[in-house]
Amino acid sequence: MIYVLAFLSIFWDYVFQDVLSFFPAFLGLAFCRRTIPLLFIVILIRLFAIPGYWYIFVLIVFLILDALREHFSSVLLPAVVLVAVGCLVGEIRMLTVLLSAATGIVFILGGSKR
Amino acid sequence: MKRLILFFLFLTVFFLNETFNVSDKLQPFFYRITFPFLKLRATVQEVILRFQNRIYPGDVYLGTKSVGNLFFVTGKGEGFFYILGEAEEGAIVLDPLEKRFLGIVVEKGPISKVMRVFSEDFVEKVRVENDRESVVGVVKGERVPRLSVIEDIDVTGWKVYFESEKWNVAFKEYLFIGTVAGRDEEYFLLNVTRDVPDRVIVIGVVE
Repeated sequence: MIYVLAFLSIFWDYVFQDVLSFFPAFLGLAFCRRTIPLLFIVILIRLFAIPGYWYIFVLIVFLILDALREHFSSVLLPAVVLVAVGCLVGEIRMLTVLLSAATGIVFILGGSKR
Repeated sequence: MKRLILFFLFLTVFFLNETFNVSDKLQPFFYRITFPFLKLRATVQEVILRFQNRIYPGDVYLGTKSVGNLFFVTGKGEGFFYILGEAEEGAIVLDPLEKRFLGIVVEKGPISKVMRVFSEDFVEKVRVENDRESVVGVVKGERVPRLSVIEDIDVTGWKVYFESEKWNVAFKEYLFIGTVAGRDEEYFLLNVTRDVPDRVIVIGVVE
């Protein structure tokens, strides 16, 4: 599932990011699954496809939360924080942000159950 | 340690990208890969508009030369909106039905971004006209756009047109921004329609 999400968070977002962005969901799930190399590759490709300065901030937050992982009683809270941070990468439009955040939380809940 | 290495590796790639504009060079590649989906999106929007019986005129010609294309509006925000397709930065965006100026393309991409007169970054030269006179002014973008004119005259009620040396003659009517509603100390306040149509004309070089 995370590979599909990685693909969507690049190619879907390239065409439809003003409707729904999969990148926040991918960030949250990558944190839960701890797939840092995959996250790194996705962020790099996204940087070339959809350039922006936000990626540095996203990566810093991700790595800090990952370093503090043991201090959290559950991975859900930091994963949801990452979803929120991922939403900031796109434009701040209420419906898009809500849809992207909801999708992220659904994926995180699905991922954490597994 | 591994995290730190990854982060510095990313920073290196990031600054190399900024220096050599790698992402700009890769844009045609990403555009080509995603083109079928962009086309599909445009087709779906066209079908929806047909069902809504909203028919727009075709491309814009000056003589036999095409100078503008119709683009779909995909999203709207405060002070900007998005159009589907690559349009050159700086191209002028017009309303084909209401004949008015809508904004300027500020970001080129598969979804290009258009800055409106309601954006705080908008600062452009304009013509302010009534039936007899015409003066030059500058519009500064705000929630209520502000106009300043060089001459010390009251221009309340006058019409404001976007000033474009290239397109002033051919598209004079289409460059209408709004009317001057009143005065607020040293500025005049503009009355500008906020609505954006489903399709817009982009004048200029279009890929």
